[in-house]
Amino acid sequence: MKLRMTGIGRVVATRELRLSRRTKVTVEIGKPRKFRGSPDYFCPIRIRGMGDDFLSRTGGVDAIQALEFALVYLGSKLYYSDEAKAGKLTWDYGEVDGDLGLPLMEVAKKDVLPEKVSHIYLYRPNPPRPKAKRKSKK
Amino acid sequence: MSSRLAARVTGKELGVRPRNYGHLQGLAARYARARLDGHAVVNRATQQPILLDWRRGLRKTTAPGTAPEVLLSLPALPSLLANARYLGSGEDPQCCSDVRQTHGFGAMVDVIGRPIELWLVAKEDGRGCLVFDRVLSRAPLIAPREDGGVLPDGPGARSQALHAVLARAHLPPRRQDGGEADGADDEGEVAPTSSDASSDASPEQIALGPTPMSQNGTTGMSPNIQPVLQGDPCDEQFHDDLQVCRSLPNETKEEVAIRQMCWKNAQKRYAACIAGRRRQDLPPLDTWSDRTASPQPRSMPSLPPLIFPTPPGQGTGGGFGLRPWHAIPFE
Repeated sequence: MKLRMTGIGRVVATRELRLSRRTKVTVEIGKPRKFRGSPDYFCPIRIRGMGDDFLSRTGGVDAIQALEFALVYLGSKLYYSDEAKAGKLTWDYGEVDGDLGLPLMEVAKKDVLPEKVSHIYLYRPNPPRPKAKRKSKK
Repeated sequence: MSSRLAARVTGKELGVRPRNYGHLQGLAARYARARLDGHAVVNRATQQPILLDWRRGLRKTTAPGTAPEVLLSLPALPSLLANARYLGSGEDPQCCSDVRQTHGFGAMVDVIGRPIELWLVAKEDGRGCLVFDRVLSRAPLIAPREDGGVLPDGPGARSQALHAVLARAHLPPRRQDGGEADGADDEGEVAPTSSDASSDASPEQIALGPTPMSQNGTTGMSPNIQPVLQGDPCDEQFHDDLQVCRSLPNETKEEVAIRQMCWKNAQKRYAACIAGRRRQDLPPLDTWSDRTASPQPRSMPSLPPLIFPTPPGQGTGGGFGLRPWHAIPFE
């Protein structure tokens, strides 16, 4: 079957991770583009070097949010990959072993991630709401 | 009878998986009121706008007793109306004084893997505007009693039908091979895949999904083709969530806020899913708010007068000059 998503278009950001000494994993983020007939934007993503090439996309209300969620999506995808769980996937510039330098949802971090990964970038999508003030009885 | 699909429904468009028939009916009514009410869709076959109004059709369509497949298909209603073929027109069977004529449309929808023929009825009011009236399902999902099923009107029959429909939702995603029968080649969803990747792809080759309902209501809200994902159920769920978020309205400030929250929650759900949480423990996908579900229907958009193209030799009466109403095969 020929699928129409054959690439991510113009690549705007790349990160190289290391699976072993010789094997590299390339993460690419494409230029955010507008959905057809919609005010929202999507951001294409590609991961190369971990088996078959993986293509996906994220969305947002504007280009920056789509880009932001692309990073978060990559964080979830890569931190929970089998290679990362096995400790094989590394980033040369990571502060500790297993640090891929990608943001990660807080909801995901407290569940499975190994404790040694302590310097990940936590991403809290929904800021806590301020507590409602109690009405003082007059 | 054409086999061309006007829309495809996965059962997840209403946001949460319905627990039973009553829950499904409530979800559909809430969806119709919050997401469809006040919009207009242009039917491609006739180039006429069809207004979706809660009081004049949507409430009837989501009333208790409606077939489960119709309720599940409700998010795809704009797409169905846009892609439906015109069947004909006739006098209003109820002889309402404010209804000039009744028009019938036919559309094929895939409800969780099963194609179903739906008939859509729109009424032409005194001003010449087409207003969506109701949906009729031609083939009920419930098997006749002689085939081991229960009759549609039997006790618990609709809930049983719903469970039968939803059970198919847990089947592995179908892989599409060959050409699409949906006829949505120009704006169909593109399947993220692990193959067919090329580094020198032009931007035009980037995935462009189906067109949700726009402000002028010229296109359908629900996707024509669902993405075909291979493997990871979390990715599949994520892309389903993206389709939901894309289809949310974007008119008022509150709707924009909900839309933004939907995108965030889609990420949150994906992260929770990939972290190993069970499906029922995932955070909900915010798609509506009590603040946006206004009790009163929105004001209707001003629509152009309805001018029916009359073929030569067919006279001026009878709407489009096609088959009269009694010739439409409504059982």
